[in-house]
Amino acid sequence: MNSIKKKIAFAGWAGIFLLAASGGSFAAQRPYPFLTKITRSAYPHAHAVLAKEKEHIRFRKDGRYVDRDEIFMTILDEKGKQSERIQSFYINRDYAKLTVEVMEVIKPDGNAVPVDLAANSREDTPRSNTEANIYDPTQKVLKVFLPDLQVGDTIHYRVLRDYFKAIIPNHFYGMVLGQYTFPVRFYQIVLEGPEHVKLHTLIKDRVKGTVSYNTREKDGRQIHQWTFRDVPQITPEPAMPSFMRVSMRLLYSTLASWEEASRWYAALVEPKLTPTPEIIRKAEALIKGLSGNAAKARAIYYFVAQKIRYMGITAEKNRPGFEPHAVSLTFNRRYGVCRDKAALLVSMLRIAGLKANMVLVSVGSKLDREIPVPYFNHAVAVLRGASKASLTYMDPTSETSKQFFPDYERDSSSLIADKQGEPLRITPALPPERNQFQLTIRDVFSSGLSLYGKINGICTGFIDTVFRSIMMAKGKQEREAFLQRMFKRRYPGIETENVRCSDPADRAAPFSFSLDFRIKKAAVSGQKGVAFLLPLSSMKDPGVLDRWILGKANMVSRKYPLRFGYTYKTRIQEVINFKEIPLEIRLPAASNISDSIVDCRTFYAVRKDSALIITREFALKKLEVTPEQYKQILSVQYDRQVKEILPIVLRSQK
Amino acid sequence: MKMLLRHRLPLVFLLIVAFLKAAAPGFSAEPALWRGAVKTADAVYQRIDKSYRVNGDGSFTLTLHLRVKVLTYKGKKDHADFKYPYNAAYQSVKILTAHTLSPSGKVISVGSREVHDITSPEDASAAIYSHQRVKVVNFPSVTPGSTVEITLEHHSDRGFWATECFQIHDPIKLKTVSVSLPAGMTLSKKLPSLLLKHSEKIVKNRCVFHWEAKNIPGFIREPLSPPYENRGICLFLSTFSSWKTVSRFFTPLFSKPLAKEAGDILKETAPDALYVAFMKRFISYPIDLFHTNLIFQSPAVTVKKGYGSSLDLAILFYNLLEQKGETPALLLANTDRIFIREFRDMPTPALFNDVIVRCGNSDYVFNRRELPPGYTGLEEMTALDIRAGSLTGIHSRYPGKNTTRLNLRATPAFSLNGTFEIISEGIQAVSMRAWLRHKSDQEWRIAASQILHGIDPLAQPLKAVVRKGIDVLTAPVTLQGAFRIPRLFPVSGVFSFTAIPSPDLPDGLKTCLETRQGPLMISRKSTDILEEKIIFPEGTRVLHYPASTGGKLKALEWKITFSVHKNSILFRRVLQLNRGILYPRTASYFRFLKVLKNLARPSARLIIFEKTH
Repeated sequence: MNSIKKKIAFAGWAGIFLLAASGGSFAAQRPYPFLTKITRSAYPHAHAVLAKEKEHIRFRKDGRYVDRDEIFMTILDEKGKQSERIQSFYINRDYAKLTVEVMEVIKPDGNAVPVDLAANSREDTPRSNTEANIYDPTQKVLKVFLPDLQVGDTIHYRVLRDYFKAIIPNHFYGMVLGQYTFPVRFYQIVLEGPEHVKLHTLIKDRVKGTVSYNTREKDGRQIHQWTFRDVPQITPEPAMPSFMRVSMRLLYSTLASWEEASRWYAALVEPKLTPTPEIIRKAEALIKGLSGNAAKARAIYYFVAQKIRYMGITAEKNRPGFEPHAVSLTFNRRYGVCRDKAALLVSMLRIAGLKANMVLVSVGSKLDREIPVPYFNHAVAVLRGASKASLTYMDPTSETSKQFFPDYERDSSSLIADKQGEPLRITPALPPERNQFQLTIRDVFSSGLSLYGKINGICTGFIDTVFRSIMMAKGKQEREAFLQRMFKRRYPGIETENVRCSDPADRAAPFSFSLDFRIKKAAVSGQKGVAFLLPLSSMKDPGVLDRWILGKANMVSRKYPLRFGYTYKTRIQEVINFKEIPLEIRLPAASNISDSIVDCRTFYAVRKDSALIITREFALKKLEVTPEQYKQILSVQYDRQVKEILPIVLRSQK
Repeated sequence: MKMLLRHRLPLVFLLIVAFLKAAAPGFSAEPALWRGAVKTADAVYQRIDKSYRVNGDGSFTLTLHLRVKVLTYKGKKDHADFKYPYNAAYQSVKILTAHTLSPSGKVISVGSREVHDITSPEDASAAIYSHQRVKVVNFPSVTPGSTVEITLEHHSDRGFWATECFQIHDPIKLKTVSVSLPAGMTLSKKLPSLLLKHSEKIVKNRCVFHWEAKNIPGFIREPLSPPYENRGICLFLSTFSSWKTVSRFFTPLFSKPLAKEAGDILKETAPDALYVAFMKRFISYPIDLFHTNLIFQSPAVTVKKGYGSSLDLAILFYNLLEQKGETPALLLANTDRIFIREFRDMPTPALFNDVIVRCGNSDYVFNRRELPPGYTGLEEMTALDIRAGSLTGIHSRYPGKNTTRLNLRATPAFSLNGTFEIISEGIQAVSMRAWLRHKSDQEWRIAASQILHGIDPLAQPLKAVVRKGIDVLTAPVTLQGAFRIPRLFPVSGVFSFTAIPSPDLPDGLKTCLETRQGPLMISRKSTDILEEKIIFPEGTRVLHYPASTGGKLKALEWKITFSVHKNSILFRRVLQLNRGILYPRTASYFRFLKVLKNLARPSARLIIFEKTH
């Protein structure tokens, strides 16, 4: 429960903790009659149940707040036990301290066994940080290993989080879920603060009949109370949209608008953007002789993206984790995390006379527009054109891409840092044609039933980004082997040689490659001079993203939308020349699918010289499909499966 | 890799190479070969100097000096952030010097904020037992053309053993390893398959060994490569003279008598039943033996906590068996699938990372829950019996096997009706059970939908998918279902087509290259059986189907049979992979590849039938 809920609730920034052994002072609250209601028959689909949670958040005008949270989580089966056996509390010592006031396991007979925190807990470095090459001594996770936890037990804890430093001074905001992958029997949250501070609140994706709200004022303080009762669980489906987008949630914020958050971030970062003479000299050298803003922006972007390595040492003074380091440090040491690299990019673009700002992004998800809860997880830059709508997003964290802005950050919420204030925006998605993988095959079908020839591949957009990121992480020989294996996977039995690929570090041209191939027995021979040829273009999952993206469609029906997250296009053209020209070429009937979601088409043509031209196209046009639209995806999968086995029928005798 | 890192000598600093048999000078590649290696390299180790000073009590101090020239972006990513794992319980690491040399020769020192000491991310799920830490040094201003250089001192208190690889992914211009130990102290050695320059001398009552090699090309990363230990590229060292002395090192660590308060906590007496109840009762946090502080929980504490590391659970289980009158044994094992038999004459604790308990003919593991009793997943592997002080083969009662039966019948309603049965045994059953056990009805509906999709994207259930054997750990896991596909077989003119599924082999085997450079390891024996019966529409006849075939190679056995009756076809394919290492550019490797190609090629799987009227 905690591990799911609190990660969302304070999005990774909490603080120091103190451990307190559980005492007997809570004995008066026992027994807990509500626990008798948590039974397998009452919750037949649950592994664990949030039996009761009471959370009280008392905020101050300056944005600091104290959150006391008491939770009773009952384990109903082995899976619930396994998922709850370690309780994790993420903390950030720069902003908060955490005290575990109570931690105990209540047995089915009502006996509560206190957890000896000293003997059963461990402070650890969050794995996600070190795996991302970020070294932040203030980010910690307290893991409590619950002793003797058995099915039927209830985990009871109470924690106090003291947020002694507001991320946005004088503002208080947050988001809590009221619906999880387990049922919520009872969850009450109280927000209490000074009465003259305007608090904006909203319940989104309300589950009818499960929430009640009341508010009152007392002793100069406003008190808001929401009570969630008997909220059904969500059973997640693979590749469904972010949990934060589909579950019932409470948003609250004293920020009046997203513009206010935009102004705050601008004020935080602007002082860090002042360039040193070395930076000015470097920027001027990069753009020397270049004409046009696009060329200048490209030169600067590739410098920051490629030459500044992604590595984070969080030691900022003001708002650690949010403000960038001074650009001089990033430039001199040639490293930084997203915000450091974005800041240096903005600073250098401005030296070139371009209008640029930093941008906060919520990668892979959309924030709720109605209430400003700035839960962003990434920072990039934006280049602004003459018109307000002309925005070119640039992410220098992407060290290997030709693209300025990789597609995994598209269709995500973003907020430009601007002293005038900017609204919440969505980063635009690209049409599939911009993310294209194109294969051109020229081959010969010989009388020995073999097929041999040459494959040329060329990539644009995100396909180019994917190839480059793979290739730049490999040595030269490994790159060649990667391409060979790619085709082995798609057409078993193929033999390849003479592999060549463009230099992935060279952004001047799209990534491209070529290789020679030979397929022994690409066809089977029937009777009366008939041969059944399976051309190379019939290969399985020809696109680079097919297995990954289309593979997300792995159920025969769905309840929730399926999020692909990418649009892309694959085009294969195979020109088959025949060593012995067949008397007849029988082509499979076309079974083309084309609508607003996908294009899945195959064209055949026979040239005058009897060469056979096969053109196979696939385009995924939607980032997400509804359960109804999902049926179309299944049809596409079926169609692609058929194309793998549907041969060209060649007749060489009368 | 994991194995090497565990033993204080991170892979990055381990090197060697082989090929030359020339004696005195040791290995040095031909100049042209070396120049070629450097030309395509991302970074070059200009020097790796490792000097061990071993004390009489087995403690030692290692001084490591490393200088790497970065040549490309990849070289920068690989070397700009230096990571050195160690175990803080009995080791310490001190960075003596660290700096970047810019391409122009400017020295840029590493600042204190660029040195970190962090907990080991790989032990995140067993953090409470981990003493493993990582010293991280972020070199500043690294660009292609820079050189990074570091010297560190590493002290260890718990005996001396080391693994020194003389060939890694980046070329090495010079690697030296020297070991100084009190005269008379044993040093066991296992040399790599190439010859190293070697000297041995006595200096002030100490014996000093020295090995070195020069101009060693790197090797490329390839799928299904064997662990470093089995590639013939490493020098293994230890001060243990026999497996009995290795056993004596471990024996006190695991001697934890069952305290009275631990009591008779489980009433089952038969070892299998006891194991099942035990693993249900206790939570296991798997961890590498050498990532702990080598002080394990007493059985009483494990009983009280209800959880423990996989090692703690092994100790408690061992004691419970003893209490019930059995005569169990503790075995040290390796879960990285190293071929330990190659180390018969090289006693070293370095090969082991886990503990299993033997009772009679059954071996029990504790690093994974809900395993059938007697299943280890380590079949055909070797362990060290601590009490006997000798190597022994590990038992596993459930060989990996997967059987799929598929029946497809064309219906007059232009659809295909079918049934399927998937039976998983051994490792396959363990994986299937881990996926499907403890699912709520809602979760099971999603899983069943995925299973059907695996049959065909358009498959619709004719009746609910059934799962059997999920809760009986000793049973195979069986999935059965009936479905309808609202399409007939694809048609082109008078012909219709279908295909046998491609063999279910690991991706690394499906994509094996003729030009492979390094050895290929099949890490476990497994059998895959596919039986398919297809009834085509009335008025059709089977025109073409693949030929029946069979054969046996060291790594692979196969048997494929087809039988055709009027408008139906019955197909059976049995594939068995055998554990072992195949060496590239050998006749047996090419034979293996040829068979794989013949089994997987699309035209070799095509079935064609045609209308007869």
